[in-house]
This record gives sequence, C-alpha cells and structure tokens, in this order.
Amino acid sequence: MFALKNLLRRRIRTILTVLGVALGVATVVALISVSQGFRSQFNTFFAAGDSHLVVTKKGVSDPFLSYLPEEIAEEIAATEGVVAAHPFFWGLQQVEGNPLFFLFGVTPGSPFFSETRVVAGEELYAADCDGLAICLGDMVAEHLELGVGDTLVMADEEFEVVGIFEAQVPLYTGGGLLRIEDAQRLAGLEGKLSTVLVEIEDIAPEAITAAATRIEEAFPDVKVSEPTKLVDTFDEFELNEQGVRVFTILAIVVGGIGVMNTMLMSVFERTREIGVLQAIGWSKAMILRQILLEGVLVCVLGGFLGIGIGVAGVEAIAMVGQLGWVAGDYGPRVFAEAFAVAIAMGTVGAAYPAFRAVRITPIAALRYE
Amino acid sequence: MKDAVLIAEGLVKTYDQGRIRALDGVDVALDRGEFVSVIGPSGSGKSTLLHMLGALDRPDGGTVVLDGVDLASERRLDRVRARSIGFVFQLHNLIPTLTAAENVELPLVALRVPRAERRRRAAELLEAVELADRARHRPNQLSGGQRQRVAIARALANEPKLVLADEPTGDLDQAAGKRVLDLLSGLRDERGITLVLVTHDLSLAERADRRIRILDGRVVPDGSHAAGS
Repeated sequence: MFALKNLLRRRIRTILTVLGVALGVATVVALISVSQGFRSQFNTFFAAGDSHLVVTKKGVSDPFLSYLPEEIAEEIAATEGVVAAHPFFWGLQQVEGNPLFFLFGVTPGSPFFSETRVVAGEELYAADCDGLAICLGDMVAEHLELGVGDTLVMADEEFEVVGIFEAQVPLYTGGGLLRIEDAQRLAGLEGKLSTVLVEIEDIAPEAITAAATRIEEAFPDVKVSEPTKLVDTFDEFELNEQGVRVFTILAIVVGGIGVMNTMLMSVFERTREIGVLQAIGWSKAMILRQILLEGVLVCVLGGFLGIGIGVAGVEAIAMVGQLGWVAGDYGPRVFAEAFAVAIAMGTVGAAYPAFRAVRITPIAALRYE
Repeated sequence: MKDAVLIAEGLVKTYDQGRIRALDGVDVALDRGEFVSVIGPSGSGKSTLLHMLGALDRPDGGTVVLDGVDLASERRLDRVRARSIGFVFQLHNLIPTLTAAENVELPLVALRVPRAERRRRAAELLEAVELADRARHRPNQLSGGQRQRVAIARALANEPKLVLADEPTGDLDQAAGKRVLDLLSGLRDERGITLVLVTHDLSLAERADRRIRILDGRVVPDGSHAAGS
C-alpha cells in the first residue's frame, strides 16, 4: 500500500518505468514462445503418420542441412524390422510475395499425406496433371491468393496448383507438397534426400531403439532419432536456446538499469523521509525491504503488461501472411520465465538504490534541506 | 536522583576528525515526567545533544543510559528509538502521500503492531491532538499547526518514555505555536512522559520545569547570558 502510494507520486515516471520493464518482458515472452513454438512444431513435424524413426545425416547442426544419398531409402527399407522407409526432401524457395516458402518433396504413400487434409482439388499424386504439380497449404495459398488450377512460378518453372490442404502443424500450411524429384531439382540437389521416415514393425519402445541401433550400425553416416526428440539432437536448437538466454540476460540488464534510475531518483527525493522513518524507529532492514518492494512492484506490473504485449506481438507476427507458420507456444514455462525476468529486473534495479537508502542516516537526512 | 529516565555523562562528540568539538563533556539527567528545555544559540551543540539523547547518533565519549539501556553498547539503536523515543521536528516531516492517520501509524509499523491495533491507536491519538476529523487528510490539506499536531500524535504512537522536540514551533505563527506547546505540555502531564524541548525562544523555554543552557558544547549555568557565538 505504502509502496504503491510512493510509486504513484510520480505517475509518469512510474508508468515509463513499467513500460520499459514491459517491453523487456515482452521481448523475452516473444522470443521464448516463438522458439518453444518452433521446437514443438519441429518435434511434431516428423511424427507424421506411422513414422517411428527419422534418419538424418550424422554430424549436421540443423535438419535443413541434412543431405543423404537417394539410394539409402531403399536400403533402409530392406533392413530387418523395417516396414517402410519414405524419402523426404525439404527446401526453402523464394516465390513472388513470399521469401520463405517451404517445399516438401514427398513420394507416393508418404506419411505426410496422413497429416494433411485436402480441402480443395486433389491430393498431389492423385491429381490428373501432366505438368509440374503442387499441393499448397491453405495458409500460404491464401497469402499468395492462389486456388486450384492456378499457376505458381518457382525458378522459372510453372507449377499447377492441384490441391489445397489444411493441417494441424502450422509449418505444413506455410509450404507446399510436391513430387520429390521436383523439390530436389528446384534446390539443385538431384539425387539427395533430407531425411528418411521409417516405419517399424514392432513398436514396443525397446524394439524401436533396437531398430534405430541396427540402422545406425548398417549406415555409419546417419543418425536415427525418434521424431519427437529430433530437435533435441541438433546443435542449432541448442544455439537458439542459448541466444534466447543471452537476450533474457540483456533484457534484465536493460530493464534493471531503467528501474535503477527510477528508484535512485526516488530515493534521493525522499532522503528526508527515509531519515524520518529511521528516526521514528524503522530499521535499515525495513527501509531496504521497502525500496526493494517498490522496485519489484514496478516490475510485477511491467511483467503483466509485458506478457500481454509479448503475446499480442507474436500473434500480430503470425497474422502477417508469409510468417503465418510462426506459432507461439505459451506454456507455463514462458510465463514463469517472464515473471522471473520481471522479478530479476526489479531486484537488480532496486538493489543499489536500496543500498543507498540504507546508507542515509537520520541526522544527515534531517539536516538535508 | 529520583526515578531517572535518562542519564548522560561526559558526552563528547567531535566532527571533522576532532577539530570541532560539538559536545565537550556534557552531563544531563532527566527524571520521569520531567519537562526540560534545552536552550542555546545556534551552533552551540544543542541539536547534537538532542541526537545523542534520542539515539540518533553515538557519542565519541561518555555514556547515555536510557531507561536502563546503555546506548553506547546497544547495537540496534533503531529498536531503542522504536520502543522508547518520540521525535517532533521543526518541520513536521510527515510523509506527504500518507494520510494523517497513516502517518501516526508509521512508528507502530516498525514495532509490528497489527493493523487493527495501529488504526485504533492512531484514531485515539488524533483525538488527543484534536484532529479526529482530519484523520483522512493528507499533510498538504492541513495547516502548519495541524501538521505539527499530527507529528506530535506520531511521536506518541509508540508510547515513548522520552519525547524530544526540536524547535517544534519554529515554523508556526505565535498562536499555532502556543497551541502546539500547550498540547505537548498537557500530554506530558496526562501521560507522564519526559519531554525535552530544544528551542532558542526563551519565552517557550520558560514553560519547562527546568532549563539546560548549552554554550560551545558545554552546559553552562542557567541565567548567565551567553555572549553569542
């Protein structure tokens, strides 16, 4: 109560400080939720259909940099305990109006078909199309304003849109499914695969592990993962996490400096009052607590506001057509971290002002005019 | 000495690495319920004496024993102030964002008195200083005299043994000043507190039971008129 009244003395200053904290928290919320969102999207991405294992190239830092020789799919399919091995090739293609267009090169019977539901036209391989065919995610189709029968030009090649599909994973709907050889040619990587999705006969956990080991032993150049754990095995995502952590620390420092500035001014202005409080019996610990409380209160308010701004920001980004596959993951971790950041800002920012407040002696304060 | 509340002996306080002797061997004894005025020109050391008696600062030499507690060896002077001392300053020094009642409650916050009890006591004290109808006013909605009366209520909130008033009427006109002093001395009679009034106004000082005259950091016999320093 007392803390709130002290903050309301200089409303504008308090509001600006709260805003500063809020922007820092919003940045952290946006970064964490988007990066968590990516993670969970990539984790579900390869858990398509009945695929139990994902084969990628060993030693690459990013699943986008995984290239395997085309023949490997058939060889894996011939491995003991494997029911099917589906080759997959993905790439990024620039198309007019969308610099980040995902190409998903698939073969007939690919498990990706079971994750997509055609809402217009036909499925890629079912369509009666003599030329180059593509099936678009509904989100990207809407953004590019393309419908069934329209033509999409990529690298001077004309693709006919044969179907539009929707899917649970936003990443799917930000791209298009096309025949694997078309995707390879567009990327200039004929004969290469990105990953192989493997169906296993016996899906008991230990049998899956055994199959993974068998494949890795037979093909020394590959890494075999369970689809939902795939991203955890790539350095890129770890690097991303570290980047988020660095930004979080930066946000705490920047927000903390703002809080410190405000609280320091507030303490200097109240030198006399702090001296009086001590004269009438308030201990230094109580003064310290009071200043810290005010700092933390600013940051809790900033934290709430920041979460709102952060979520609104991510949702706003997701509404930009070409970035529609950005999906924030607002799990409890995001909010826990946002509050931890806010409290840290308050504590870091109020610590030095509180220390200064404690050093005020009642006598000096009473002389202070 | 009958029933002494405070005994100070040989108080020495120096500033500027000993070059300035603000107090130079001062002895003071205060009885329970006594009203004592401390007079002297500015710079004589009377404020410094008040700080020593009020546990705001420690002397460099000598002892202060307040209600049996030796302030020289007491580590938590804030607790001594919280329990035993009330201050009234020249400027009221109320917290501007808090109401009169909330200001009166502040010393009780330090003593961790529960809120309901704090409210009750603040209301009772504002009644005693005849400001019950101003309890919810903030300092800037009160006159100078009213503010000083709130400050008196605040000084009494912890039921102190000793109330120290440093030029409490210095900022007030004569009528308001008289009222404040009447109130202080009336409360002294009523509550049996020991009251120390620091002033340079002789007409106010005369209302005390006795006067202590300070000159150049020493107690000098009262009546000897000091050549101003």
